[in-house]
Amino acid sequence: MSKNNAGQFNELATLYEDTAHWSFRKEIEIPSVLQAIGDVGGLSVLDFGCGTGMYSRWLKQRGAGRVVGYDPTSGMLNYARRRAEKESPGISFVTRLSPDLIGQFDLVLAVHVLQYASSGSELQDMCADMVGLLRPGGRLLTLPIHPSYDPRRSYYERYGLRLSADDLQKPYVDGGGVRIGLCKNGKQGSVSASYWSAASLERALGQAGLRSLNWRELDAPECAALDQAPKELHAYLQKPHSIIIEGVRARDPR
Amino acid sequence: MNFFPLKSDASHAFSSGVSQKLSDMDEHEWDALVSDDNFYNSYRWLRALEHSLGATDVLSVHGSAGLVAACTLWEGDRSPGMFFLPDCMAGVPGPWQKGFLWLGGRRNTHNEIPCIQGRRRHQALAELGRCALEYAQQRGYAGLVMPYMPYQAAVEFADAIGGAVVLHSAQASLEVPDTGLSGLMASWRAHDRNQTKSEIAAFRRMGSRVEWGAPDELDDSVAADLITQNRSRYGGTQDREWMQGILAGQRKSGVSYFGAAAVSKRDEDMTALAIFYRFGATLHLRYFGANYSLDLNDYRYFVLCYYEPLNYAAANGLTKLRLSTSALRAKVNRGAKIEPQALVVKCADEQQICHSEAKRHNGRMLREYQDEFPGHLSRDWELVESHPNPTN
Repeated sequence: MSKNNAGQFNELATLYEDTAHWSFRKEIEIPSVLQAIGDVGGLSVLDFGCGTGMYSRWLKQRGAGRVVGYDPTSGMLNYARRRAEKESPGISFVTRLSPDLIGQFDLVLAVHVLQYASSGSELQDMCADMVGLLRPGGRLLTLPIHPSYDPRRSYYERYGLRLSADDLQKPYVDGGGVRIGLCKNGKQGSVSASYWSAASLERALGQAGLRSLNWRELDAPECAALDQAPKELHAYLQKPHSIIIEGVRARDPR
Repeated sequence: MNFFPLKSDASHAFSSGVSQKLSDMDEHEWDALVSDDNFYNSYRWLRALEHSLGATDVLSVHGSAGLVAACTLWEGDRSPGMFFLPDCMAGVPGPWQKGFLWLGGRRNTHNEIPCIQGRRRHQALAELGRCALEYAQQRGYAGLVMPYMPYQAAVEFADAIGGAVVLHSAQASLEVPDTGLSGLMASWRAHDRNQTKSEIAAFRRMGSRVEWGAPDELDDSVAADLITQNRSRYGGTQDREWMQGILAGQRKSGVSYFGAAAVSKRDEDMTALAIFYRFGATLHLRYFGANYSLDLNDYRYFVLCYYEPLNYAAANGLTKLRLSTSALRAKVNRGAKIEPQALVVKCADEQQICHSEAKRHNGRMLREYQDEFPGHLSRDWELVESHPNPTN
């Protein structure tokens, strides 16, 4: 992630942490991710773009062994450090990926990260960084912007989320600008991101050495069927703004 | 929540205000602005002060997404000592006998403004300074002061608010090697290594040993008694009950969670204790106490405050030991570096600060420390040389 892209998060730590309590994350994204991750007992985990460290804390609390949170944004990472030292001690948070982290992890989790690659080469580098952290056979879970998200600003607004393509006529162009806003309870903030198509994401992850790619739609794991989810979540579930991609690092990546 | 808004600087889209107690603020939001070195402005430490000494006003600056800068306010001390402005400003002419608004935690010997990182940091600091001055003027203070700031932080804050930087103190700290005390000793001259070895040997010869535990496991009345004995010896005026109240406040706020107590014992008698706080990668020494009725001459102060914590810090992945502002010579002799501390002052009437006097004072103080502690000054002193007073 470029410095500019990282810097736009410096003031957003508390607002971002608040989103864990917003329905689209609390009822849908977070349980979907935790379900997809499964048992983390004893696993070595790197939370790539950890932000305020919420997933890092939960994974540590769920029995993960070594947990490292990485985020280049000092404002986010300071929140993560301060909160984790009270609630989930033993997590290390880093602002850069040092060589000694390469190939060390059973699981790399990268939630809402790939959209902050602002060019094709940056997307490729980011995927290479993520996959390179995995030991051979280790697993990557990442949540980019859904290639079929709804580009209209108003669609996700009821959930506190404003997602709008810079060019509404051509919202699904690789590298096209997307404005992501968070707005709830009198607080608001927004950041610039980029759209990446399914083909571009698969290509970048594949070239980075990820195999057995699997796309998982977000759902509401607490509900037996989607139509049993609370009514206010239906619109989101029809067009979730994000999706899980998972895969494993090839034993011989090249 | 009683939140009194202050006029905001609309160009930066900040809103500012004053709360009457810290509990109006969100703990995690506050602490997200606090660096590892700024433990004494962390939420739980400040809440502990509230519990023990009563609430003070809190100044805060918000952006559209939340808190961007904040600090607690108080009035300093009215009698000579470390928190008496005429003493802090000795050698710099000015209206220091008048009442000033003090920024930071009460009786803090390390202060930085809790503030966001990034491109709007300067504006957030400027807005906080503007609001603090407005608050001071509304209440008849002659100006504002934030004492005991690392020099670099003081320069940054003064630059943002148009204040003056005045050197007034210094603090000691140690970089902790992975191998703890032995790693540090390896870098010393033979004389200093032998001195440390003989002090540790004397401690053991006297039958003393060290036990580490959580402050919550201590009997507050015993701990307060030992700490008060030590403070009285060096001019402190507060009694044991006062100290006990401080420790009770720490339990209540939860700051004890970060604490670590090193206790020296002979048989089952507690002969001394040192209380530290872990915060990020830093270990902060806060209290030392001893039973001075036991004339042991067993170097328990050095064992508890320097040697043992180096090993404790290394074993717990901590990389810095902060040793506060007193007894600098003894600390330097045991490997510490000395860092400059400055206060930032801004008078309501701008004419009242003579910047050239402040500059001369900083230069004088720099030379004094260079003469007294050659080879033991941190790199921050170079800043004093290059920026004796940024407002000039």
